[in-house]
Amino acid sequence: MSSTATQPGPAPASLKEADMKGALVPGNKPRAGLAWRILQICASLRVTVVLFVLSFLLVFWGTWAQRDESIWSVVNSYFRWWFVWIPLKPLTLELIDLPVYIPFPGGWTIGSLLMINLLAAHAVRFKLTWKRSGIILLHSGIVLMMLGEFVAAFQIEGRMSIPEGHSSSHIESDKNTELAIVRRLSEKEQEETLIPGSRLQYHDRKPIQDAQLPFDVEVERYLENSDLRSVEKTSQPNPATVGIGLRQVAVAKSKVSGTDPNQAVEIASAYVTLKKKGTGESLGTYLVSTWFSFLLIPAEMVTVDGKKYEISLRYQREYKPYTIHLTKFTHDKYIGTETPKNFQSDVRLVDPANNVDRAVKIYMNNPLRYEGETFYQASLYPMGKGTVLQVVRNPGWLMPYFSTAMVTLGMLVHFGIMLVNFIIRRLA
Amino acid sequence: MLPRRSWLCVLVPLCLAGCREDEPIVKQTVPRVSVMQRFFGAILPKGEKIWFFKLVGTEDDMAELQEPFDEFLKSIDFTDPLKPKWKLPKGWIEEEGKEMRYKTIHIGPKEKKLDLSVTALGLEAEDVTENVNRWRAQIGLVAFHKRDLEPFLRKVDLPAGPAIVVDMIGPGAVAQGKGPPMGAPPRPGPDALPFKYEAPKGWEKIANITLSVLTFQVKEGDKKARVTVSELGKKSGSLLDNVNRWRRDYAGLPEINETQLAKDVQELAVGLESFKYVDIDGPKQRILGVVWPRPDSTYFFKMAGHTDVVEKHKKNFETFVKSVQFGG
Repeated sequence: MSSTATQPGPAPASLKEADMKGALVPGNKPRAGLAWRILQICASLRVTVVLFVLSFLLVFWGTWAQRDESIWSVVNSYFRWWFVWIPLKPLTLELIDLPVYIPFPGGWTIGSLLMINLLAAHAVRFKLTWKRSGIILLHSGIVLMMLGEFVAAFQIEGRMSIPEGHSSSHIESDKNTELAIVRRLSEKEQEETLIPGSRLQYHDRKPIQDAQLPFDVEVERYLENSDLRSVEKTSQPNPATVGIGLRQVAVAKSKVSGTDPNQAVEIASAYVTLKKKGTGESLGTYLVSTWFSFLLIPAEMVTVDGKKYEISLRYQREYKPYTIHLTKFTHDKYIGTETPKNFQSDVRLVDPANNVDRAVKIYMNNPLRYEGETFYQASLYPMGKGTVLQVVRNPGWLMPYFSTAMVTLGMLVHFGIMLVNFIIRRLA
Repeated sequence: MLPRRSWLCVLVPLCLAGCREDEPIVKQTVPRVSVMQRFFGAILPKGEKIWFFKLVGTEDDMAELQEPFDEFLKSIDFTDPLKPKWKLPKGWIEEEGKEMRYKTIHIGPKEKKLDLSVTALGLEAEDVTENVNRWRAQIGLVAFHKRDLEPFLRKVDLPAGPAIVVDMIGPGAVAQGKGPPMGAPPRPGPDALPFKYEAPKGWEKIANITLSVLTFQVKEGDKKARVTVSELGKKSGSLLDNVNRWRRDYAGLPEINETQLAKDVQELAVGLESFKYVDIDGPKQRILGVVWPRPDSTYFFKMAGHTDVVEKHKKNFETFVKSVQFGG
């Protein structure tokens, strides 16, 4: 598609011609200066080709990386970031497996440069004429498509699990974790201090210290994917000195690869040592695990300066200003089988700020849409009677539709103009 | 051709962009919209009995009771193996239990209904997995395989002997969350039962007592009897074990042997099947009991109470048992 943009005639000659024209425009001195030169470099067809090759390689290695990494890990490290260190293993098609990493521009870098390249090409070479209208429309569609990918970075996808008779006002991520230090203020409120899972993962053996934390946190180990074993059933060293970690040991599990047909959720665990601020006195090394929040195992309790704190590793939460209460959950099966026929959640949506209090039924192909979020019936509450709703917010969900329509229309217009001109020439 | 230095313009920002900044630590105050139930339990085998200590309440109440509960367990004294004693923490009030319950210990104000129950069962109730799964059901949790229950079980060496201590959180069998912002209709009880039944006229359905899945109270003036349906695991003991438990604990009669049992036991026809049926009249109470084996468990239908009430409602009891239809 962009190659269409780079066909303004014999490229080197027209570039030079454009350079000369730009330089000779009377009273437009900056065009002959550094800015115009940089714009010309940005508009270069060679840059387009190099960026295309880089993007092909990035997609190839990003796809290959999904043999070992999860889809979201690859999306976030290869495509939704500026810069990526690619291991030698996929680079050499798994012929060489050494802990060597090659730096490579990430998806955001290549996408941004392609966008600059395209816009610069229009600024330098293309003219706003009816003859070029198809190409301009087509390229506008591509720009919109690229912007759509940036907007998609703000997409939220999570789940809301509600036992029957209970309520929820938060969405849980199934990708990111957080170490939650929770103090109950009253029956209706709690104070949460949250350390993002990435801080536990990339701790560099430095203690996590922050004025907001009631104690310092030292990460002994962080396991991106883990399993729990009884202490008696494993010979693995157990760093825990208090709590459930004295009975259970977290063992590392290989990460869920993007090619795994089951696409199970990764269940992280960590060993953290809590230390008193100032004195550095150890309060114990705790095992925290998203297994515990999944299985509903009570959180560990730590008392500091007379205040009680619960610590737990959980999936990152996003709190909402509204509440969903599950009144009834129905799970119908086909008679005589275990095959699900229908899942239905009868919920009450309550948003006091907007005077909303209504009953809604959520079932297959009948999601609840509210405040830019869509709640789909996804699964059963794993620990008892209840529901799991998939929650999606994608502010740019219409952009791919518009951009594809614009590209299609642009191509039709462009080829239509070419066809008409051809027919006119033949008839003349 | 691009000037060589121009690549620096690309590479330098790229290298800088490669460094991720630490995500910030966040502190926030958030509403608690749903409060779960928390369950403390202990299983303590002693001699011929398995002792069960059970305390259920909201997460908030129970968070304060974790240490007192542990201290209570440490204080249990089995000098008399059939009548254990303990040291009660301040504010805990003990009272005699009813039926299978040995004692009930009230904690805090009565309106909170925070009761620690102490129950003793025979060795037939020693299966930890079955007991913990029964407790899980009581707080709205699904049953787990033995190996998956390990994280919930704490083996503790108490002065009274080795015990299994359990700590679990669940939504509650019937919605009990304090937080729903509007009145949620309570879940009708019979939905949870795997069988249908017809209750005789005059029987009053009341809250379930320990182990029972369905309980009725029957009154004749001041005299009372109670009808219970209980589900126990496959290892719920032999018929002789159960009859002797009823004779000993309810009727106040001495135990009998197999020969005597064969004389006492009758059959109650229900549809195409028939089940063992006993009628035990003792100085304390009169008991009617039907043992109904199922593929995965055993159901006990029992009427216990004043002799006159049991006599008057014996036919009703038999009609009630005959009305039971298990689904699936």
